Parts: sequence; structure tokens; C-alpha cells
Amino acid sequence: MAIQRHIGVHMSDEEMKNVVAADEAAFASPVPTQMVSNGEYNPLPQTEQQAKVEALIKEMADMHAKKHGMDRRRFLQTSAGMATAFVAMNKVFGPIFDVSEAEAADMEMSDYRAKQLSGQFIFDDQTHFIRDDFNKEGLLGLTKWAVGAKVNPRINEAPMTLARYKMDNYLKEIFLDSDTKVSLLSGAPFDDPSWWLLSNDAIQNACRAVNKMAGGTRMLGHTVITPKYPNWMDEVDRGIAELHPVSWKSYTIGDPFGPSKYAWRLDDEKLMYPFYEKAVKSGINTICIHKGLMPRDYEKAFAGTWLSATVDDLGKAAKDWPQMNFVIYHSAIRPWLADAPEREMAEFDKSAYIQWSTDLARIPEKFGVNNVYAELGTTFASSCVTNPRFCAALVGQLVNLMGPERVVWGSDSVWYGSPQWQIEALRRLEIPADIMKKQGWKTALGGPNSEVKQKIFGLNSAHLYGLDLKLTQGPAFTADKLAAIKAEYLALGGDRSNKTYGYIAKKDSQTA
Amino acid sequence: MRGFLRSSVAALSLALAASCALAQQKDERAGTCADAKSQMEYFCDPARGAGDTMVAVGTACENAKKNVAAACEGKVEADKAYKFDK
Repeated sequence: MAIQRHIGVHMSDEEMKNVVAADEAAFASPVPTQMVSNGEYNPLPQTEQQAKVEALIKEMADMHAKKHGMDRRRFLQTSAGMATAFVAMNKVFGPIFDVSEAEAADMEMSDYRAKQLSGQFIFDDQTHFIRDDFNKEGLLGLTKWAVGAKVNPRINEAPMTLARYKMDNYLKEIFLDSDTKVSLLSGAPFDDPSWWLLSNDAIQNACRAVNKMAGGTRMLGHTVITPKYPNWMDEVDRGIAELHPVSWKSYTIGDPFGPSKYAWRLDDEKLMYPFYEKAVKSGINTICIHKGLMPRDYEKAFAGTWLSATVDDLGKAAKDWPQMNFVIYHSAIRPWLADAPEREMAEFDKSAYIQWSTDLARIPEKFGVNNVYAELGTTFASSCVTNPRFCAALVGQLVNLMGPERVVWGSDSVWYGSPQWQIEALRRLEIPADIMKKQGWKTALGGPNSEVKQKIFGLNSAHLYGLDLKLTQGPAFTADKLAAIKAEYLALGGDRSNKTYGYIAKKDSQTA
Repeated sequence: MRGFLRSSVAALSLALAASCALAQQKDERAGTCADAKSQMEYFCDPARGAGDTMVAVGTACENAKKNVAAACEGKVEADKAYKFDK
């Protein structure tokens, strides 16, 4: 029997028995209290600490909600509800997030803070939606909409379809329910063509439609390139001549969801250097590369190809092509998430090494290059939920070894629902003083709108993609049509759904 | 006896030639035959899926099976350009 699977999901049928759609089963917390998978790795069962966080959130939310005369669900959709979640995380994981109990209790205070930060320039460097004609039957069983009281009534109006992953909901989650100002839309190839995410034409069509509707630049798009595929350079030529992407997207591993016959290396002179030459000449000189996110037993699972998922090929390519920019998606982190996060944190405490992301962080110094960037999609989302201290160490290492100018924000939306909780997490995240001291780091992350965070959230990407920095700090994103739509949406009571659209482990699989 | 030897040598030559031809057709882009078998063993094992890492028995198992066929048996699927039907 052919196994049909949702685009972006590569867990087996057997694995799928152990997970449920996150929006259906997870407690609708402003910040997930359990790791959510984008399908590129298995979600961990809820840990004991995460269960404590969830219980605390419920307890505090019930208390605050009662004072404000609302139910828990409604309270958790407010800024105070978001603050409550971070207070709970601090109580369990230690003081990693900058938040006070007063903020959780005082809606006026939390609303004021949220309003003050709502204009912050946030450029999401990695986003996805799926093509409209993707209609595999098996997907319906995997991604059915939640029913009942836990689900946003607005979402419930839609039938149980793939719509949540499609463009309409993407626009809502990213541009209406979060402070994101500009997104970069991506795609992905698979060895099985029926899984291809979006065509390069569809990406550009979406950008044109959104930007026309907004009356400004709100969405930028990739052109996916597929080295080793037949005639792949023809698509490069077409991209340059017709599509005009802002950057290229590719997968050195070939297929993100399985061992591929199209794995390749960035430093393959015969294969890639003619491409770099064309890219530089065209002015489209930034390439975003999926790296990392490998299973625990990657040497067996990806025997013969796994090296392509590391940054082993990056230093030489970056040095040979200083005119190119190499944006490394997921910061090349190997999915330690499949292992116990505590083990990874212990390894960092011992050796200051995080598998593969540290290799990335060391490249600028090792090769004397400044054209390599670390992108945080999925890596940040999952680590800040499972082990905030590890998340702080990870981001801290990237910032301190590569420089705050070389780290770019990405959320991997729309797989995790609205990225607002991720944005809030980075705004509040700080590197613990003991880690700073032990590692000898000088650069702290700072307050929610610190120079470092402004760079990560948007200024670095604005620089990469030639956006006018005066515009990004001015009224451009508060005065266009999309901003007007958002204002109207909020005035009509638009509320964040607190939904995550990946998969979480079933409770009865936690001991598996 | 001489006839038997002659025909045996001829048969051996043919077998060797066929083997060489088969070897030339093998596709090891996704790894050697041993690599591909390792991939298949990992991704096509449903028991591994319960609590393990990225076990993508869907696309990954299918990929691995195709990789085994290509690297071990010389059964190679034609490549398709990354091009969408309009």
C-alpha cells in the first residue's frame, strides 16, 4: 500500500501512531509546553519539567483570569497570558527569560509592553506554506482540525482540510497574529517529486500578490535550486532571467526527509562554482542552505550522505566565494532534540560544543570569512521550549563566536502556528551570567529591543536583502495596507490562536 | 574434455561480462550498496519508529529502497528535473 504523507512530514505510519496533531492535543499555551515537530525530526514526549510548566501556567492563568473576569483560554491569548507562560518557565528552568510576575498579573502593564514592541522590525528569514494542489488523502487523517472548545472559533469555521498549512492561514498567523513585518518564503525538493513543496513560480506569484495587496515589501521569495538534478542550471538561469528571487534555497542533503541520491557539497568546484559565478554576476548572491536536523543514529540512517548535512563543506566555499553570502538554516544543529536535552546541555557545559552548530560558529575565525550566517528556524523554537538554558547557550555561542551581525531570525512558520511566542521568547531571552563568565563571552543579548536583538530580528536580513533601513525603522510597516488590515483585525477582536501545527508525542508513548 | 573446457571458459567470460555491465549500471549517488542497505535497515524498520529519531518510513523508506535497488541491483529510476506541471 502506498504510504501517503503530508508535505513536510516524514514520520512513519508507526511513528504517527505515537503522535497527534499539536493543535488538537496540546494545552493551548501561549508558549508550547511540549516540543512540536515540523516533521523533520521526531517530537520528544513531554518532559517532567515541561509538565511542571504546563501545570504552573494553568494554575497562574486560572488565578489571573478570575481576577480579570475571563476564562483561562481567553486570558492566555492576552499579553499577560504570554507573560504568565514565561514566568512559569523561569520557575521551572531558572531565570532565563526577562519577565516579572507583576507583568503576568497586570494586564495594563503587559499590554503596554506589547504595544511598545509591536513596531519592532522583524524579518522572518524562513517561512513555508504548501501548494494549493497538494491533496494527499493520508494527510487528512494526520492533520485534522481540532474540534471542540480548545480551538479558536475562527479556525473551526474552516473544514478539516489542509487549509491551515496554506497561504491564507500563513498570512493570518504571520502577519496578523505576530509582529513579523517581512517574511521570506521558501520551498523544498524531495527525491519523490510528489512531495515538492512549492514551485519557484508559485513562490514569486505569492510575493507579488502579497506585496501588491500591502502596497510595499512584505514578502520576499526564494528560488529553489537542485544541484545534481537534470538540467538544474536551467532553473538557475530562469531564476535570474525571469523569477528574480532575493536569494537561492537549497539542500545539500538532497532530500530533507530521507537519504537522497542528490546529496552534494557546497565546495564541489565542478558542480557549484559555475553556479556561484552566475549568482555573483546576477547580483543574487545569497544562498540559504538547509543543514543539520539529522536523526540520532544519522551515520546509519544517512549512511553515505550524512556528511552533506554538516558544515564540513562550508569553509572552503565561503573562502573561495567572498562575494557570496551563505545563510545556514537551522544553524546546522543536529537534532539533539531527539536525545535528552539535558545530555546536550551537559556536553556544552563540559566541552562548549554543540553538535554541528559549534562547527558553524567556528568557521568565520577558522577560515577568515565574514560571509557566513546562522539562521534560527526550528532550532530556536524547539530549544527554547525543551531547555531554555541550552537555547541561551546556543544563541549565545552563535552571537559571541560569529558576531551579532551574523545571526538571523527565522521561525520555520507556519509549521508552529503564529510565530509570536517565538518572538516573545527571544525578546525575553538572556544568557545566564554563569555561562557568560565560564565561556568568556562579552556580548549579552540584552533587552527586548537591544541592539543585538534588533540585528538578529531584522537588521541583519535587511542588510542582506538590501531593504532600506530607514524604511524598516520608520512608518513603512505601520502605514501600509497590510498594517491597516491588521489594525482592523485587532479592532474586531482578532486573537492569537495559540495553536501549533506540528505534531507532539502522545502521552502513552512517553515511555517508549 | 576440451569441448567442455572451451564452453566453460566461454560461459565464465559471459558471466564476467554481464557482471561488469551490471556494475557499470549501478548508481551509488546515495551511497554504496552497503550504505543503502544501512539506510533501508534504519528507515524501513517500523519497530524503530516508536521513540527514536527521524524515522521517515514514508519518503525515507521509499528513498532507501530505491537506493538499494540502484546501488545493489543496478535498477535505477530515471531522474526528473525540478519542474512543476502548470
